[in-house]
Amino acid sequence: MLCEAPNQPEAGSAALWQRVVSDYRRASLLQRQRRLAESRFVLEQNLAASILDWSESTTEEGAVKVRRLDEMFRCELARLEDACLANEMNHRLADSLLPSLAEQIATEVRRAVAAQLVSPAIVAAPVVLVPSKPPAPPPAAVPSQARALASDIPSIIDTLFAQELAASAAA
Amino acid sequence: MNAPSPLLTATSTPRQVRPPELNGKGRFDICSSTGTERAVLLLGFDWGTNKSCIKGAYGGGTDLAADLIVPTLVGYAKDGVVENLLPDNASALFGEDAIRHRLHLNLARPMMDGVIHDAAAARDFARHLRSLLDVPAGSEIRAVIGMPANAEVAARDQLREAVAGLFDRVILIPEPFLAALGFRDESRLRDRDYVDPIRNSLFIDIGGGTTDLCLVQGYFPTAKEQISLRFAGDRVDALLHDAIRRTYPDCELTSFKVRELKERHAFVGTASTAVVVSVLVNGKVRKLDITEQLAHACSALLGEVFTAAKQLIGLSSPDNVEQLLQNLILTGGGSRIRGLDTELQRLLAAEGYEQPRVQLAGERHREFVALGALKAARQARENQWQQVLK
Repeated sequence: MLCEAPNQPEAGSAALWQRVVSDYRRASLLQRQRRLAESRFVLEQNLAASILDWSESTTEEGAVKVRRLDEMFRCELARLEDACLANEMNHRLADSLLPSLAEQIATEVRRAVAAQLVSPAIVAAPVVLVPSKPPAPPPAAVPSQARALASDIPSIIDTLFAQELAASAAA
Repeated sequence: MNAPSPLLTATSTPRQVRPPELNGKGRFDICSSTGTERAVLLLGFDWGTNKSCIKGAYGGGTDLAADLIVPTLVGYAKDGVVENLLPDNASALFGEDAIRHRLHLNLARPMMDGVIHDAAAARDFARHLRSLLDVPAGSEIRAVIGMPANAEVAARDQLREAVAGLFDRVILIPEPFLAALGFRDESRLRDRDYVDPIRNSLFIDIGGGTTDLCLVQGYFPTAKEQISLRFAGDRVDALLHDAIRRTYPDCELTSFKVRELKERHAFVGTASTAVVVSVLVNGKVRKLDITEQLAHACSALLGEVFTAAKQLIGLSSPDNVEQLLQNLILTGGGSRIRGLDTELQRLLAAEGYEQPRVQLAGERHREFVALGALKAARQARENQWQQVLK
Protein backbone atom coordinates (compact mmCIF):
# COMPACT_ATOMS: atom_id res chain seq x y z
CA MET A 1 0.00 0.00 0.00
CA LEU A 2 1.40 3.36 -0.99
CA CYS A 3 0.72 6.19 1.36
CA GLU A 4 2.69 9.37 1.65
CA ALA A 5 2.51 11.49 4.75
CA PRO A 6 1.18 14.86 3.60
CA ASN A 7 3.80 17.51 3.22
CA GLN A 8 3.51 20.83 4.93
CA PRO A 9 3.45 23.45 2.16
CA GLU A 10 4.58 26.45 4.19
CA ALA A 11 8.34 26.66 3.96
CA GLY A 12 8.82 28.16 7.40
CA SER A 13 7.03 25.37 9.17
CA ALA A 14 8.25 22.52 6.96
CA ALA A 15 11.05 21.56 9.31
CA LEU A 16 8.73 21.63 12.29
CA TRP A 17 6.23 19.47 10.44
CA GLN A 18 8.96 16.95 9.63
CA ARG A 19 9.75 16.82 13.33
CA VAL A 20 6.09 16.06 14.09
CA VAL A 21 6.11 13.24 11.54
CA SER A 22 9.41 11.90 12.82
CA ASP A 23 8.30 11.94 16.46
CA TYR A 24 5.04 10.19 15.68
CA ARG A 25 6.83 7.58 13.60
CA ARG A 26 9.25 6.94 16.43
CA ALA A 27 6.50 6.65 19.03
CA SER A 28 4.54 4.23 16.84
CA LEU A 29 7.56 2.04 16.23
CA LEU A 30 8.44 1.92 19.92
CA GLN A 31 4.87 0.94 20.75
CA ARG A 32 4.99 -1.79 18.15
CA GLN A 33 8.22 -3.07 19.74
CA ARG A 34 6.39 -3.18 23.08
CA ARG A 35 8.73 -0.52 24.45
CA LEU A 36 5.76 1.17 25.98
CA ALA A 37 7.47 3.42 28.46
CA GLU A 38 9.72 4.89 25.80
CA SER A 39 6.78 5.24 23.41
CA ARG A 40 4.76 7.08 26.07
CA PHE A 41 7.74 9.30 26.78
CA VAL A 42 8.04 10.29 23.10
CA LEU A 43 4.29 10.86 22.79
CA GLU A 44 3.98 12.98 25.88
CA GLN A 45 7.23 14.88 25.76
CA ASN A 46 8.56 15.10 22.23
CA LEU A 47 5.44 14.81 20.07
CA ALA A 48 3.30 17.13 22.16
CA ALA A 49 5.98 19.80 22.03
CA SER A 50 6.64 19.40 18.32
CA ILE A 51 2.91 19.61 17.46
CA LEU A 52 2.65 22.78 19.53
CA ASP A 53 5.66 24.33 17.79
CA TRP A 54 4.37 23.41 14.36
CA SER A 55 0.87 24.64 15.13
CA GLU A 56 2.20 28.01 16.19
CA SER A 57 4.32 28.29 13.06
CA THR A 58 1.50 27.81 10.55
CA THR A 59 -1.30 30.14 9.62
CA GLU A 60 -3.75 27.39 8.67
CA GLU A 61 -7.07 27.17 10.42
CA GLY A 62 -7.53 24.79 13.33
CA ALA A 63 -9.76 22.38 11.42
CA VAL A 64 -7.22 22.15 8.59
CA LYS A 65 -4.44 21.46 11.05
CA VAL A 66 -6.41 18.69 12.72
CA ARG A 67 -7.25 17.12 9.37
CA ARG A 68 -3.62 17.27 8.32
CA LEU A 69 -2.54 15.63 11.55
CA ASP A 70 -5.21 12.93 11.26
CA GLU A 71 -4.13 12.16 7.73
CA MET A 72 -0.49 11.95 8.74
CA PHE A 73 -1.31 9.62 11.68
CA ARG A 74 -3.28 7.33 9.36
CA CYS A 75 -0.53 7.25 6.73
CA GLU A 76 2.23 6.60 9.24
CA LEU A 77 0.29 3.75 10.83
CA ALA A 78 -0.33 2.25 7.41
CA ARG A 79 3.38 2.50 6.57
CA LEU A 80 4.27 0.80 9.82
CA GLU A 81 1.76 -1.97 9.13
CA ASP A 82 3.25 -2.47 5.68
CA ALA A 83 6.77 -2.61 7.10
CA CYS A 84 5.75 -5.13 9.75
CA LEU A 85 3.96 -7.24 7.18
CA ALA A 86 7.05 -7.26 4.96
CA ASN A 87 9.15 -8.20 7.96
CA GLU A 88 6.82 -11.06 8.81
CA MET A 89 6.92 -12.28 5.22
CA ASN A 90 10.70 -12.28 5.39
CA HIS A 91 10.62 -14.34 8.54
CA ARG A 92 8.19 -16.81 7.02
CA LEU A 93 10.41 -17.08 3.98
CA ALA A 94 13.42 -17.71 6.17
CA ASP A 95 11.58 -20.18 8.40
CA SER A 96 9.85 -22.32 5.83
CA LEU A 97 10.87 -21.85 2.23
CA LEU A 98 14.60 -21.25 2.61
CA PRO A 99 15.28 -24.22 4.92
CA SER A 100 13.73 -26.64 2.46
CA LEU A 101 15.75 -25.11 -0.36
CA ALA A 102 18.85 -25.21 1.80
CA GLU A 103 18.20 -28.83 2.62
CA GLN A 104 18.10 -29.73 -1.05
CA ILE A 105 21.36 -27.89 -1.67
CA ALA A 106 22.98 -29.51 1.34
CA THR A 107 22.02 -32.97 0.10
CA GLU A 108 23.49 -32.29 -3.31
CA VAL A 109 26.68 -30.78 -1.93
CA ARG A 110 27.30 -33.52 0.60
CA ARG A 111 26.69 -36.14 -2.04
CA ALA A 112 29.23 -34.43 -4.29
CA VAL A 113 31.78 -34.14 -1.49
CA ALA A 114 31.30 -37.75 -0.47
CA ALA A 115 31.79 -38.80 -4.07
CA GLN A 116 35.04 -36.85 -4.18
CA LEU A 117 36.31 -38.32 -0.95
CA VAL A 118 36.04 -41.90 -2.13
CA SER A 119 38.50 -41.06 -4.86
CA PRO A 120 41.99 -41.11 -3.29
CA ALA A 121 43.34 -38.77 -5.95
CA ILE A 122 41.10 -35.91 -4.94
CA VAL A 123 41.41 -34.04 -1.68
CA ALA A 124 38.50 -32.54 0.15
CA ALA A 125 36.83 -29.92 -1.98
CA PRO A 126 35.54 -26.61 -0.65
CA VAL A 127 32.37 -27.40 1.20
CA VAL A 128 29.36 -25.18 0.89
CA LEU A 129 27.52 -25.41 4.18
CA VAL A 130 24.00 -24.22 4.53
CA PRO A 131 22.12 -23.19 7.63
CA SER A 132 19.86 -26.14 8.04
CA LYS A 133 19.98 -29.57 9.48
CA PRO A 134 20.90 -31.74 6.54
CA PRO A 135 19.19 -35.05 5.93
CA ALA A 136 21.31 -38.15 6.44
CA PRO A 137 23.59 -38.36 3.40
CA PRO A 138 23.99 -41.58 1.49
CA PRO A 139 26.55 -43.83 3.19
CA ALA A 140 29.97 -43.05 1.80
CA ALA A 141 33.18 -44.90 2.39
CA VAL A 142 35.69 -42.66 4.15
CA PRO A 143 39.18 -43.72 3.23
CA SER A 144 41.38 -44.75 6.10
CA GLN A 145 44.06 -42.10 6.51
CA ALA A 146 47.50 -42.13 7.99
CA ARG A 147 47.84 -39.83 10.99
CA ALA A 148 48.60 -36.28 10.04
CA LEU A 149 51.79 -34.75 11.37
CA ALA A 150 51.10 -32.08 13.97
CA SER A 151 52.98 -29.59 11.84
CA ASP A 152 51.08 -30.43 8.66
CA ILE A 153 48.04 -28.22 8.99
CA PRO A 154 46.51 -28.97 5.55
CA SER A 155 46.57 -32.70 6.26
CA ILE A 156 45.03 -32.07 9.69
CA ILE A 157 42.21 -30.12 8.10
CA ASP A 158 41.63 -32.95 5.62
CA THR A 159 41.47 -35.36 8.55
CA LEU A 160 38.97 -33.17 10.33
CA PHE A 161 36.77 -32.94 7.22
CA ALA A 162 36.81 -36.70 6.85
CA GLN A 163 35.93 -37.13 10.54
CA GLU A 164 33.08 -34.67 10.29
CA LEU A 165 31.68 -36.31 7.20
CA ALA A 166 31.84 -39.67 8.89
CA ALA A 167 30.11 -38.23 11.96
CA SER A 168 27.42 -36.64 9.77
CA ALA A 169 26.84 -39.91 7.98
CA ALA A 170 26.60 -41.74 11.30
CA ALA A 171 24.12 -39.19 12.60
CA MET B 1 13.80 8.49 12.32
CA ASN B 2 15.57 7.58 15.45
CA ALA B 3 14.25 4.07 15.87
CA PRO B 4 16.77 1.63 17.26
CA SER B 5 18.12 -1.03 15.00
CA PRO B 6 18.34 -4.59 16.34
CA LEU B 7 22.07 -4.21 16.67
CA LEU B 8 23.64 -0.99 17.47
CA THR B 9 27.01 0.54 17.72
CA ALA B 10 30.27 -1.14 18.52
CA THR B 11 31.35 0.37 21.77
CA SER B 12 34.31 -1.74 22.80
CA THR B 13 37.72 -0.27 22.37
CA PRO B 14 39.87 -2.97 20.86
CA ARG B 15 43.43 -2.57 19.78
CA GLN B 16 43.32 -2.39 16.04
CA VAL B 17 45.69 -1.68 13.27
CA ARG B 18 44.20 -0.37 10.08
CA PRO B 19 45.13 -2.49 7.10
CA PRO B 20 47.41 -0.89 4.60
CA GLU B 21 45.56 0.66 1.72
CA LEU B 22 46.89 1.32 -1.74
CA ASN B 23 50.57 0.63 -1.32
CA GLY B 24 49.94 -2.32 0.96
CA LYS B 25 48.22 -4.27 -1.74
CA GLY B 26 51.19 -6.53 -2.22
CA ARG B 27 50.70 -7.89 1.28
CA PHE B 28 47.20 -9.04 0.59
CA ASP B 29 46.44 -12.60 -0.16
CA ILE B 30 44.64 -12.87 -3.44
CA CYS B 31 41.61 -15.08 -3.49
CA SER B 32 42.46 -17.14 -6.53
CA SER B 33 39.22 -19.07 -6.57
CA THR B 34 37.22 -16.04 -7.56
CA GLY B 35 39.73 -14.71 -10.02
CA THR B 36 39.31 -11.26 -8.54
CA GLU B 37 41.83 -9.34 -6.50
CA ARG B 38 40.39 -9.15 -3.02
CA ALA B 39 42.17 -8.43 0.20
CA VAL B 40 41.87 -11.49 2.43
CA LEU B 41 41.85 -10.96 6.16
CA LEU B 42 42.73 -14.16 7.99
CA LEU B 43 41.38 -14.54 11.50
CA GLY B 44 42.14 -16.86 14.37
CA PHE B 45 39.00 -16.87 16.47
CA ASP B 46 38.76 -18.34 19.95
CA TRP B 47 35.06 -18.04 20.76
CA GLY B 48 35.26 -18.69 24.45
CA THR B 49 32.42 -19.18 26.89
CA ASN B 50 33.47 -16.14 28.91
CA LYS B 51 36.02 -14.36 26.76
CA SER B 52 36.57 -14.32 23.04
CA CYS B 53 39.85 -13.59 21.36
CA ILE B 54 40.51 -12.69 17.75
CA LYS B 55 43.87 -12.36 16.05
CA GLY B 56 43.80 -11.18 12.48
CA ALA B 57 46.33 -10.58 9.75
CA TYR B 58 46.22 -10.01 6.04
CA GLY B 59 47.34 -13.01 4.07
CA GLY B 60 51.11 -13.15 3.88
CA GLY B 61 51.55 -10.31 6.36
CA THR B 62 53.12 -10.64 9.76
CA ASP B 63 51.57 -7.56 11.40
CA LEU B 64 48.37 -8.10 13.30
CA ALA B 65 45.49 -6.23 11.69
CA ALA B 66 43.07 -7.23 14.44
CA ASP B 67 43.81 -8.05 18.04
CA LEU B 68 40.73 -8.25 20.24
CA ILE B 69 39.74 -9.79 23.52
CA VAL B 70 36.06 -9.26 24.29
CA PRO B 71 33.95 -10.76 27.09
CA THR B 72 31.45 -13.11 25.45
CA LEU B 73 28.33 -11.37 26.67
CA VAL B 74 25.37 -9.61 25.10
CA GLY B 75 23.08 -7.23 26.96
CA TYR B 76 19.71 -6.23 25.55
CA ALA B 77 18.14 -3.00 26.80
CA LYS B 78 15.37 -3.64 29.27
CA ASP B 79 11.88 -2.48 28.38
CA GLY B 80 11.22 0.99 29.60
CA VAL B 81 14.80 2.19 29.67
CA VAL B 82 14.58 5.88 28.98
CA GLU B 83 16.28 7.30 25.95
CA ASN B 84 19.98 8.07 26.05
CA LEU B 85 20.53 6.17 29.29
CA LEU B 86 22.66 3.67 27.37
CA PRO B 87 25.59 4.73 25.21
CA ASP B 88 24.36 5.89 21.80
CA ASN B 89 20.88 4.91 22.94
CA ALA B 90 21.84 1.34 22.02
CA SER B 91 19.33 -1.46 22.25
CA ALA B 92 22.15 -3.98 22.66
CA LEU B 93 25.57 -3.74 24.22
CA PHE B 94 28.41 -6.21 24.13
CA GLY B 95 31.43 -7.29 26.16
CA GLU B 96 32.72 -4.82 28.72
CA ASP B 97 29.96 -2.35 27.88
CA ALA B 98 27.33 -4.97 28.65
CA ILE B 99 28.98 -5.67 32.00
CA ARG B 100 29.25 -1.97 32.82
CA HIS B 101 25.60 -1.23 32.04
CA ARG B 102 24.17 -4.56 33.20
CA LEU B 103 21.70 -2.86 35.54
CA HIS B 104 19.66 -1.74 32.54
CA LEU B 105 20.19 -4.79 30.38
CA ASN B 106 18.89 -8.32 30.07
CA LEU B 107 22.13 -10.25 29.80
CA ALA B 108 22.45 -13.18 27.43
CA ARG B 109 25.37 -15.58 27.25
CA PRO B 110 25.89 -16.77 23.70
CA MET B 111 28.09 -19.70 24.75
CA MET B 112 27.89 -22.36 27.41
CA ASP B 113 30.20 -25.32 27.89
CA GLY B 114 32.21 -24.13 24.92
CA VAL B 115 29.38 -24.33 22.38
CA ILE B 116 26.57 -22.02 21.30
CA HIS B 117 23.85 -21.85 23.88
CA ASP B 118 21.77 -18.88 22.69
CA ALA B 119 21.73 -18.79 18.90
CA ALA B 120 20.26 -15.30 18.61
CA ALA B 121 22.72 -13.80 21.07
CA ALA B 122 25.56 -15.68 19.38
CA ARG B 123 24.60 -14.22 16.04
CA ASP B 124 24.41 -10.72 17.51
CA PHE B 125 27.75 -11.17 19.24
CA ALA B 126 29.38 -12.42 16.04
CA ARG B 127 27.94 -9.44 14.19
CA HIS B 128 29.37 -7.16 16.84
CA LEU B 129 32.82 -8.71 16.49
CA ARG B 130 32.58 -8.35 12.75
CA SER B 131 31.78 -4.66 13.20
CA LEU B 132 34.97 -4.24 15.20
CA LEU B 133 37.06 -5.42 12.27
CA ASP B 134 38.10 -2.44 10.27
CA VAL B 135 38.39 -3.96 6.82
CA PRO B 136 38.36 -2.25 3.44
CA ALA B 137 35.18 -2.67 1.43
CA GLY B 138 35.21 -5.78 -0.71
CA SER B 139 37.68 -7.62 1.50
CA GLU B 140 37.17 -11.27 2.22
CA ILE B 141 37.27 -12.49 5.79
CA ARG B 142 38.32 -16.06 6.51
CA ALA B 143 38.33 -17.43 10.03
CA VAL B 144 39.72 -20.53 11.66
CA ILE B 145 37.51 -21.02 14.69
CA GLY B 146 38.29 -23.16 17.72
CA MET B 147 35.81 -25.76 18.92
CA PRO B 148 35.84 -28.03 21.96
CA ALA B 149 37.52 -31.31 21.14
CA ASN B 150 34.33 -33.33 21.43
CA ALA B 151 31.95 -30.87 19.75
CA GLU B 152 29.10 -32.63 17.99
CA VAL B 153 27.98 -32.07 14.42
CA ALA B 154 24.99 -30.00 15.56
CA ALA B 155 27.24 -27.71 17.60
CA ARG B 156 29.50 -27.21 14.61
CA ASP B 157 26.54 -26.41 12.38
CA GLN B 158 25.23 -23.93 14.92
CA LEU B 159 28.56 -22.17 15.00
CA ARG B 160 28.71 -21.95 11.23
CA GLU B 161 25.20 -20.56 11.16
CA ALA B 162 26.15 -17.91 13.70
CA VAL B 163 28.93 -16.56 11.52
CA ALA B 164 27.33 -17.14 8.12
CA GLY B 165 27.34 -13.99 6.08
CA LEU B 166 29.69 -12.28 8.54
CA PHE B 167 32.79 -14.26 7.69
CA ASP B 168 33.12 -15.44 4.11
CA ARG B 169 34.89 -18.73 4.77
CA VAL B 170 35.62 -20.76 7.87
CA ILE B 171 37.44 -23.83 9.11
CA LEU B 172 36.74 -25.38 12.52
CA ILE B 173 39.61 -26.97 14.45
CA PRO B 174 39.66 -28.41 18.01
CA GLU B 175 40.76 -25.83 20.55
CA PRO B 176 43.29 -27.79 22.58
CA PHE B 177 45.34 -28.50 19.49
CA LEU B 178 45.14 -24.85 18.50
CA ALA B 179 46.40 -23.93 21.97
CA ALA B 180 49.43 -26.15 21.43
CA LEU B 181 49.98 -24.66 18.00
CA GLY B 182 49.66 -21.14 19.39
CA PHE B 183 52.08 -21.87 22.19
CA ARG B 184 54.69 -23.13 19.75
CA ASP B 185 57.45 -20.61 19.13
CA GLU B 186 58.59 -21.24 15.55
CA SER B 187 61.43 -18.76 15.88
CA ARG B 188 63.09 -21.03 18.42
CA LEU B 189 62.75 -24.35 16.64
CA ARG B 190 66.48 -24.35 15.83
CA ASP B 191 67.37 -23.59 19.42
CA ARG B 192 68.74 -26.82 20.90
CA ASP B 193 67.37 -25.99 24.31
CA TYR B 194 63.88 -25.35 23.02
CA VAL B 195 61.37 -28.13 23.52
CA ASP B 196 58.91 -28.08 20.65
CA PRO B 197 55.53 -28.40 22.35
CA ILE B 198 53.94 -30.32 19.48
CA ARG B 199 56.56 -33.07 19.62
CA ASN B 200 55.56 -34.57 22.93
CA SER B 201 53.43 -32.72 25.39
CA LEU B 202 50.17 -32.70 27.26
CA PHE B 203 48.19 -29.47 26.95
CA ILE B 204 45.67 -28.61 29.60
CA ASP B 205 43.55 -25.60 28.60
CA ILE B 206 41.22 -24.51 31.40
CA GLY B 207 38.62 -22.13 30.02
CA GLY B 208 35.30 -20.81 31.26
CA GLY B 209 33.03 -23.54 29.92
CA THR B 210 35.34 -26.46 29.28
CA THR B 211 38.69 -27.82 30.32
CA ASP B 212 40.37 -29.34 27.29
CA LEU B 213 43.26 -31.76 27.52
CA CYS B 214 45.19 -32.80 24.48
CA LEU B 215 48.07 -35.19 23.99
CA VAL B 216 50.29 -34.04 21.15
CA GLN B 217 53.09 -36.40 20.21
CA GLY B 218 54.16 -35.27 16.78
CA TYR B 219 50.81 -36.14 15.21
CA PHE B 220 47.41 -34.57 15.22
CA PRO B 221 45.72 -36.11 18.26
CA THR B 222 43.06 -38.73 17.78
CA ALA B 223 39.68 -38.43 19.49
CA LYS B 224 40.99 -40.63 22.31
CA GLU B 225 43.89 -38.28 22.84
CA GLN B 226 41.65 -35.29 23.47
CA ILE B 227 39.40 -34.87 26.47
CA SER B 228 36.93 -32.06 26.94
CA LEU B 229 35.54 -31.71 30.46
CA ARG B 230 32.52 -29.59 31.23
CA PHE B 231 34.19 -28.63 34.45
CA ALA B 232 36.00 -25.34 34.19
CA GLY B 233 35.89 -21.75 35.41
CA ASP B 234 32.10 -21.51 35.43
CA ARG B 235 31.74 -24.62 37.57
CA VAL B 236 34.32 -23.26 39.99
CA ASP B 237 32.28 -20.05 40.16
CA ALA B 238 29.11 -22.02 40.87
CA LEU B 239 30.76 -24.10 43.59
CA LEU B 240 32.26 -21.00 45.18
CA HIS B 241 28.94 -19.16 45.03
CA ASP B 242 27.11 -22.07 46.69
CA ALA B 243 29.73 -22.38 49.40
CA ILE B 244 29.61 -18.65 50.17
CA ARG B 245 25.80 -18.76 50.29
CA ARG B 246 25.88 -21.64 52.74
CA THR B 247 28.42 -19.96 55.01
CA TYR B 248 27.05 -16.44 54.75
CA PRO B 249 23.35 -16.81 53.94
CA ASP B 250 22.73 -13.12 54.56
CA CYS B 251 25.29 -12.05 51.94
CA GLU B 252 23.98 -12.48 48.45
CA LEU B 253 26.73 -11.75 45.97
CA THR B 254 26.26 -11.41 42.23
CA SER B 255 27.84 -13.91 39.89
CA PHE B 256 30.06 -11.11 38.59
CA LYS B 257 31.36 -10.46 42.11
CA VAL B 258 31.97 -14.15 42.72
CA ARG B 259 33.95 -14.42 39.51
CA GLU B 260 35.94 -11.34 40.42
CA LEU B 261 36.79 -12.84 43.83
CA LYS B 262 37.81 -16.10 42.20
CA GLU B 263 39.99 -14.41 39.61
CA ARG B 264 41.76 -12.42 42.29
CA HIS B 265 42.18 -15.00 45.03
CA ALA B 266 41.80 -18.52 43.60
CA PHE B 267 44.32 -21.04 44.89
CA VAL B 268 44.87 -24.72 45.45
CA GLY B 269 46.97 -26.38 48.12
CA THR B 270 47.60 -24.71 51.40
CA ALA B 271 46.74 -21.06 51.75
CA SER B 272 49.64 -18.98 53.00
CA THR B 273 47.21 -16.57 54.64
CA ALA B 274 43.48 -16.46 55.09
CA VAL B 275 41.56 -14.97 52.15
CA VAL B 276 39.43 -12.26 53.72
CA VAL B 277 37.56 -10.08 51.27
CA SER B 278 35.50 -6.94 51.68
CA VAL B 279 32.14 -6.95 49.96
CA LEU B 280 29.19 -4.60 49.99
CA VAL B 281 26.03 -6.03 51.49
CA ASN B 282 23.04 -3.71 51.50
CA GLY B 283 25.41 -0.83 51.05
CA LYS B 284 27.56 -1.75 54.05
CA VAL B 285 31.06 -3.19 53.95
CA ARG B 286 31.31 -6.78 55.21
CA LYS B 287 34.49 -8.78 55.59
CA LEU B 288 34.15 -12.42 54.58
CA ASP B 289 36.69 -15.17 55.09
CA ILE B 290 36.35 -17.28 51.94
CA THR B 291 39.54 -19.33 52.30
CA GLU B 292 37.80 -22.68 52.74
CA GLN B 293 35.20 -21.97 50.08
CA LEU B 294 37.88 -21.11 47.51
CA ALA B 295 39.93 -24.14 48.44
CA HIS B 296 36.90 -26.39 48.07
CA ALA B 297 35.89 -25.02 44.66
CA CYS B 298 39.38 -24.93 43.17
CA SER B 299 40.33 -28.36 44.51
CA ALA B 300 37.35 -29.86 42.72
CA LEU B 301 38.73 -28.53 39.44
CA LEU B 302 42.22 -29.82 40.29
CA GLY B 303 40.75 -33.27 40.95
CA GLU B 304 39.07 -33.35 37.54
CA VAL B 305 42.21 -32.20 35.76
CA PHE B 306 44.34 -34.74 37.63
CA THR B 307 42.07 -37.64 36.67
CA ALA B 308 41.92 -36.65 33.00
CA ALA B 309 45.68 -36.01 32.84
CA LYS B 310 46.39 -39.50 34.19
CA GLN B 311 44.09 -40.95 31.54
CA LEU B 312 46.01 -39.27 28.72
CA ILE B 313 49.45 -39.96 30.16
CA GLY B 314 48.40 -43.61 30.24
CA LEU B 315 48.04 -43.53 26.44
CA SER B 316 51.68 -42.61 25.92
CA SER B 317 54.11 -45.38 25.04
CA PRO B 318 56.79 -46.32 27.59
CA ASP B 319 59.42 -44.86 25.25
CA ASN B 320 57.80 -41.46 25.20
CA VAL B 321 56.27 -41.05 28.61
CA GLU B 322 59.41 -39.81 30.35
CA GLN B 323 59.73 -36.87 27.97
CA LEU B 324 56.00 -36.29 28.07
CA LEU B 325 56.08 -35.92 31.84
CA GLN B 326 58.50 -33.02 31.36
CA ASN B 327 56.03 -31.19 29.13
CA LEU B 328 52.76 -30.87 30.96
CA ILE B 329 51.51 -27.40 30.04
CA LEU B 330 48.72 -25.50 31.75
CA THR B 331 47.02 -22.72 29.84
CA GLY B 332 43.69 -20.83 29.71
CA GLY B 333 42.21 -18.59 32.39
CA GLY B 334 42.17 -21.44 34.91
CA SER B 335 45.94 -21.69 34.75
CA ARG B 336 46.01 -18.49 36.81
CA ILE B 337 44.78 -20.36 39.88
CA ARG B 338 47.65 -19.99 42.31
CA GLY B 339 49.50 -23.22 42.98
CA LEU B 340 47.67 -25.23 40.32
CA ASP B 341 50.90 -26.18 38.56
CA THR B 342 52.75 -27.22 41.71
CA GLU B 343 49.76 -29.07 43.17
CA LEU B 344 49.15 -31.01 39.96
CA GLN B 345 52.83 -31.84 39.85
CA ARG B 346 52.75 -32.94 43.49
CA LEU B 347 49.70 -35.16 42.94
CA LEU B 348 51.27 -36.82 39.90
CA ALA B 349 54.52 -37.42 41.76
CA ALA B 350 52.60 -38.84 44.72
CA GLU B 351 50.86 -41.17 42.29
CA GLY B 352 54.27 -42.50 41.25
CA TYR B 353 54.91 -40.68 37.99
CA GLU B 354 58.59 -40.08 37.38
CA GLN B 355 59.58 -36.47 38.10
CA PRO B 356 56.64 -34.78 36.41
CA ARG B 357 57.07 -31.14 35.45
CA VAL B 358 54.01 -28.96 35.06
CA GLN B 359 54.61 -25.56 33.54
CA LEU B 360 52.40 -22.55 32.98
CA ALA B 361 51.91 -21.20 29.47
CA GLY B 362 52.29 -17.71 30.86
CA GLU B 363 50.71 -14.30 30.63
CA ARG B 364 49.40 -14.76 27.09
CA HIS B 365 47.29 -17.74 28.11
CA ARG B 366 44.13 -16.14 26.74
CA GLU B 367 45.64 -15.77 23.28
CA PHE B 368 47.11 -19.14 22.40
CA VAL B 369 44.00 -20.66 20.84
CA ALA B 370 43.48 -17.61 18.62
CA LEU B 371 47.19 -17.47 17.76
CA GLY B 372 47.14 -21.16 16.85
CA ALA B 373 44.01 -20.61 14.78
CA LEU B 374 45.69 -17.77 12.90
CA LYS B 375 48.70 -19.98 12.19
CA ALA B 376 46.34 -22.66 10.87
CA ALA B 377 44.54 -20.07 8.73
CA ARG B 378 47.82 -19.07 7.13
CA GLN B 379 48.62 -22.65 6.22
CA ALA B 380 45.22 -23.88 5.07
CA ARG B 381 44.94 -24.71 1.40
CA GLU B 382 42.73 -22.56 -0.76
CA ASN B 383 40.28 -25.39 -1.38
CA GLN B 384 39.92 -26.20 2.30
CA TRP B 385 38.07 -23.04 3.21
CA GLN B 386 34.42 -23.75 3.78
CA GLN B 387 32.03 -21.22 2.40
CA VAL B 388 29.14 -20.54 4.70
CA LEU B 389 25.92 -19.33 3.17
CA LYS B 390 23.18 -17.42 4.89
